[in-house]
Amino acid sequence: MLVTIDGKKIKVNKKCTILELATKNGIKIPTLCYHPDLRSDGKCGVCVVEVNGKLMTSCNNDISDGMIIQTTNERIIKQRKINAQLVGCNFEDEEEFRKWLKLSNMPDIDELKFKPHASQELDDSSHDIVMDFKNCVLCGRCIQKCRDIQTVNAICYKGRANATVVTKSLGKKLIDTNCVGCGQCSLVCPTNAIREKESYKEIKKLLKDPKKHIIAQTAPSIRVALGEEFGLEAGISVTGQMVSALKKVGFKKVFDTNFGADLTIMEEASELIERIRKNKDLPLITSCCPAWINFIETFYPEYLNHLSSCKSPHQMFGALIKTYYAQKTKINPRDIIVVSIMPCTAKKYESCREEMSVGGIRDVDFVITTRECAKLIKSFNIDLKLEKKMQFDNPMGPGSGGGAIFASSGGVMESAIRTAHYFLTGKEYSAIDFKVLRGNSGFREASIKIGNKTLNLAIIHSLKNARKILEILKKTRHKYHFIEIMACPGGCIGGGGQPKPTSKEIIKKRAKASYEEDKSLEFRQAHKNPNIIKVYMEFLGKPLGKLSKKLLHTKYSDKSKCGL
Amino acid sequence: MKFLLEYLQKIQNKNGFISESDILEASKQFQLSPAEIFETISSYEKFNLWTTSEKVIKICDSPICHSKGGENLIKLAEKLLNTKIGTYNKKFIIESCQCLGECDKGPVMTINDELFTNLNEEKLKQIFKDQKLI
Amino acid sequence: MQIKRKTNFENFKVAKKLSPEALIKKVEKSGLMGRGGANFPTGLKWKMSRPAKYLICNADESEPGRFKDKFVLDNNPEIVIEGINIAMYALSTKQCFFYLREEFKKYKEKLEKIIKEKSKYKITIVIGAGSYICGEETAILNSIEGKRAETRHKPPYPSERGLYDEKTCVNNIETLARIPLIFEDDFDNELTLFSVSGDVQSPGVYEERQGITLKYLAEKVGAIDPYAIFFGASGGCIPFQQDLILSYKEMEKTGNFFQTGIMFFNNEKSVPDICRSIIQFFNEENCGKCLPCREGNFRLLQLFQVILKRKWTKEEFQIIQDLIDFVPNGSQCGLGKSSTIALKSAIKYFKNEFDKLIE
Repeated sequence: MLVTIDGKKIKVNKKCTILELATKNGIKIPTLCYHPDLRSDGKCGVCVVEVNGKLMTSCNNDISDGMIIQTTNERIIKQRKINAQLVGCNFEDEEEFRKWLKLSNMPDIDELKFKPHASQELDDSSHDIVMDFKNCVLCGRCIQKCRDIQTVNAICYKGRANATVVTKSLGKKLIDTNCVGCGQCSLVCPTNAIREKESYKEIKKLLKDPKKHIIAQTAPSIRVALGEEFGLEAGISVTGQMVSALKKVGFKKVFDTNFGADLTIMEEASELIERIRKNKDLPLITSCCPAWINFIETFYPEYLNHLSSCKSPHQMFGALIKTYYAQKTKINPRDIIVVSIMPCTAKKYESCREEMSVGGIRDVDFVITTRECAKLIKSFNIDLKLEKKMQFDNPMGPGSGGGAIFASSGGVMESAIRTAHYFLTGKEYSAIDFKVLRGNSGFREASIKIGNKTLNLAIIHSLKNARKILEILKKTRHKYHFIEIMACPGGCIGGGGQPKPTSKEIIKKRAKASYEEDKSLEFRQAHKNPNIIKVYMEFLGKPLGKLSKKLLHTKYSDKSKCGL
Repeated sequence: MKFLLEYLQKIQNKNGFISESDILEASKQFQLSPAEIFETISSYEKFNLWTTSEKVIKICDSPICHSKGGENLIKLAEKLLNTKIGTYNKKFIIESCQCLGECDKGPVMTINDELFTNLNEEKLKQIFKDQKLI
Repeated sequence: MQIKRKTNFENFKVAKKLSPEALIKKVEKSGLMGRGGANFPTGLKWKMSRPAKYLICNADESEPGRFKDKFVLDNNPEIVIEGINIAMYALSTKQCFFYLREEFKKYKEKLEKIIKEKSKYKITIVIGAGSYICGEETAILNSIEGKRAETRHKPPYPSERGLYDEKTCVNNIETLARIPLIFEDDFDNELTLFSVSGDVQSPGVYEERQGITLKYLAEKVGAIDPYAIFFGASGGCIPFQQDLILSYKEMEKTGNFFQTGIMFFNNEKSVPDICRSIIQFFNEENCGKCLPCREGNFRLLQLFQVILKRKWTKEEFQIIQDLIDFVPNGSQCGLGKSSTIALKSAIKYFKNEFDKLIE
């Protein structure tokens, strides 16, 4: 096919949209509702171009032979200016709107002429997500995520014509829907109509309180994404700078949740071995992902016995900070505040669960997302890029490479297998990198031989695939021994609390950075981490021991809401 | 073949509205999430969600009826029934509606499913009296 | 009226003597154009759709000023069923959906009786639930599937991927009613049902040839002081002109789009006021999917409501004109593309009326 775009003749072999062709050729067409991972419906009209003299949206129209495309001219600019007027009033604030105009190559406009008209009450009933639809431009990306990729259907359209709104299922409060809190909707919302329930401002206040001992812990997937909020390209790890910035913000200690991940592996690998030995409750299914936990409690409570009883890494870590660390440093655990910096919105609710506390003391007091973390750092006028690199604090840390790869889908499985292999055979697996467990597909299967036993494994990300595998379990419950499930596409590096934009391409880059971190570390298996060995020796005893069970394990309950 | 619209119409025609439990039941029958059924329902004018009035008065305000005084009839109806357009009460609700395809007999209105044509102010008053609305 | 001609399905028998291919050729040759509004050649549509899994008879007529579908249903439903039978034979289709707008549900029983007695094929009556946009050929698919009343992007066209993702042919009821007439000696592909309403002595449905003049029609229906003519809500408008020829080609020259719903207004009526009711119509009947159409029409309505209280500022009138171009350029479907035609024509042809409303 021969296509002319902005006067340049281009030969094209593969069918693609006008927008894709332009992007490939370095021409920037403004977009708003377009997202590379989602279906394009040309809803917002921002990406109009002129094709053979006719205006049309470029995101959902394919090129055809002989097309003459003009991506900008007076008529197009006029069209875009009116479009900007119509969406302008929907942005959270004008500054955000102006930023979008600039970033997306939209023409600048003078004053905003219209006021927002959709009037739905702000919904902050959920622990994780706030929905304020006066900012909604009805791009529908959130609904696509919630329906097609997560199969949760907590949000939907309502009404038609000018009364069309995005709302919660049956018009209820979010807390009364099936929302699992994964936050994928907030990750794709172009105007922040859907956002995490922020708590960084509260933390900022507490940081000023000298009586409080405030500790931050950062998830494995933060360091490979946070830089993007400060203008760095995706896939650049900023571990040292992040620690330094958080110290400057005022955290007394900055710990590495990778250490918590190592703990999880010690416990979960032991649990796997025990279940295989007893041939009970197999397959074992991972439990680190709180949105997945909400999902199974809501939609498939009959499979709760398959879940690992392990708390998620940051909760385990929180519990240890409030006990082991408090004893060691002689600080009253009630004065310790643990702030988890997570790629996740669902962790906010997780940390509030009653089960996630010991003796009335919560394991984790606050959870903030990567995006909130960036806001917190920025509010101190700190530019992360310019920070000197610093090490995580001890004594609980650093984590092993096995903890580092928790960031991507397949990481938990890989680390658990590294350690389970050692526990079962007394030997390390010949190759540390389990390449068969890596990949981008949302539904991966593998078999691995440990000693004389072959384990059937499955690695799942996005809840659509979680549903798929649970339907398989309905028929053949014993097909697998061990299943890892992460709610967000790509795992935590694609989490609902991660920087925007997040796309498959960006997720790949973040994953690469975290596998590189794994490789660079001295200890790559949880059970080899000397600090882990020390904690068990000094405090916990042994995996699945009495104290471990009390501090590091939890239970689940049926939360199905009559099919809502 | 099962048709969601047909299924919902049966409920709508029987009860005058579609309730939450109706949606949950439909969700089971059609293997769809309640959210999807909810959003389908809400995109059609003839379905009422959650509740309805005994008498739904729809006065056409499309070009022909409009030009022949449809808008004034709406105002008169509001005055006669002492209500505002679109305000629900148990007994009645007045709505403006779009073209009913009776332009040759405009202005027109419907009360529930019954059609009234060639309206004027006197006629409207009389119909309201006959319907025991006033 | 040809459309009222009684039928005993003889033409279906004649049609069946031809091969489906030959039958489609015959339809193509007849020059019959779709009567839903888009004026697409019926034979070509059939050729593209064949073999179609489904045929849809579209009787979701909701265009203001158009009531010919009801007229057909009232006067000669048999001929529609015969037309459907011929179409199904030509398209090698086993299933037809007869989509009626909700207000037409009273015809269901009558149609089912005819189907039971006469039809050789399976025809299922589907009743809408109040949505103008479902008359659009992709929205009707969503509606039958039980989805939101929203349009789909084209391509793919229904003829490639339609109902339940299968090849589907969507024809207007009048088009199908005219299919059996192709086999009559006096078939005339220009004959069309005109719906006439407004300030006329005898409003109603008239069967006339495309190409008649407005004068002829005005006299026939007894137009009273004709001043402005609106062609449905989506066709546009024009001052009454005696010699205006009513056909697609001639209408296009005026910047309008030919709609057979012809609304006469006398000089006591205000064109901007009629425009306001037209915007209100589109503002309530668009599907809400695309921002330019949804928001554009909403803002237009807001601006047109201004004149109920005061005059427009120059700036406001400029925004109106900007939006009138903006909406069709940014919209995906026919509704969005045609929703401001009437406004555009009104401002062009009745400028003095608008000028009076500007400060």
